[in-house]
Amino acid sequence: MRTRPLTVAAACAAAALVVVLGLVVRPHTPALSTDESGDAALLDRARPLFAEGVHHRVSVVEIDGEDTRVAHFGADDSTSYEIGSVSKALNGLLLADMIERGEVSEDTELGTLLDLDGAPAASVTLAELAGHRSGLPRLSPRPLDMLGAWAAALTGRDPYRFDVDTLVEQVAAADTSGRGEFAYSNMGAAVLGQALAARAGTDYADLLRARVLDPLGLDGTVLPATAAELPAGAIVGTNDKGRTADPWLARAYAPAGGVRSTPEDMAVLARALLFGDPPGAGAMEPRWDDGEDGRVGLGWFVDDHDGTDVTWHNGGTGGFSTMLALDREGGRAVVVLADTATGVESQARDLLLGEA
Amino acid sequence: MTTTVLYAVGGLLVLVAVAMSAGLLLRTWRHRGSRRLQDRWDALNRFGNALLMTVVALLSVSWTVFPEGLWYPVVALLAAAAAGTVLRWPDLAWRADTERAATHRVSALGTLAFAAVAVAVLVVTLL
Repeated sequence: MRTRPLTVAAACAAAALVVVLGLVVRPHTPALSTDESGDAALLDRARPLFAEGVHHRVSVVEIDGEDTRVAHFGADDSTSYEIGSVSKALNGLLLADMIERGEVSEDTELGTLLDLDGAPAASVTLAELAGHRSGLPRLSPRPLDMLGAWAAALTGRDPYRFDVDTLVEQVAAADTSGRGEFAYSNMGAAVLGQALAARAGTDYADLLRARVLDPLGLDGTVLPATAAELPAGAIVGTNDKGRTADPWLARAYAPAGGVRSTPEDMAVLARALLFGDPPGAGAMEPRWDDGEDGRVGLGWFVDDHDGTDVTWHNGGTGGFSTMLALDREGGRAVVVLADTATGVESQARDLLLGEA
Repeated sequence: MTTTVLYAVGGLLVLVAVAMSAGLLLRTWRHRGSRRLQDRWDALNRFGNALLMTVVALLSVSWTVFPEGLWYPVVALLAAAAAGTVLRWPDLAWRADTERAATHRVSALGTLAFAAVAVAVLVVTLL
């Protein structure tokens, strides 16, 4: 059977089209940047820690008493990273500050601040929300919201594109049957922050700025609500699928993970948490067990590592990973910020505990 | 998820995508027997399935954990299968004179419908 030249040409074109499309949409896993700056000794200690896994831009901040050292791979002091759930730790500071001011109490019920119309979550307290003991699920359990979260994960989009009214509807629809037991909840952290904003009569971004960020001088720490509000030259991250991740913007879920910050600001924050008197510092005191070996404060976790209490929170967005770890008794802290979805918790702990 | 689970899921999805493309490619070479392309609907159905599984693998595999280099053989096989399908196309009838001919058409239309629903769901949930 003779194959016509036109058919052969069409076959070649089809194959070429598939190859070109396959190359255009191919996954891309970046390598650790070789553009290094900062403290040479810290660079040497940090570099091997990021040899495995997918890392690109990484910043390491190390505080040891009076000394502050930084090491950057493809970044600098002012690089703006998404800090993900480290936002929850800032949220905890905000809650503790408002408790100290007498504006709310640990036992203030959510339903007194937001219109939950007798939903199960209405009787949940602010302390339960901050300690992940409210019984609220990790994410909204409504089918369309779950479908949206799944689709966003597949496509690298921002999964938290909800306004405050929608968040309140999600919370009102949620079951709280696990109340009193530790269960990590992004929804709980988000609604906690929005409840505090409602109490203060302002929006969450303005409240966090006025009560926590401005007093600490964290000018590079921002909550961009739109793409236009992203810092100039804002970097984008790479998700676990090897694709560019959309920025996570600070809408209703901002208290759970919508904050961006810089190595410079994280150094200031960590130093204030260790040696200063930051707003709401009492949030870091552990109050409850997390059901495993750790303890939980108001938005903070505390783990024991061979006799050293490590106070910490990590963060992960579509394309960024963060870890803030403090040895409060030893006066040491390590912050790791990265622009890929590969977790950096172990690296921060190794640096903090002198294992690297 | 642990690295082991991510590897296992990635391996499974890539394997299914490769199997579909390789299966189609083999059928484009065969001119006799039951394991050949029966008609154009059969070819469309099998290429649609191979394409769909390749897209599923692209979107679902954690390529930052699973070896990224395996994407290229997946694409190369799909490209070869596409070329083979086009080469066989003139020799195929739209509808084979067999009992299963109707099945091929229904399967092809089902694949198309599934892809349309998947795209619609993505659009609706992301907008």
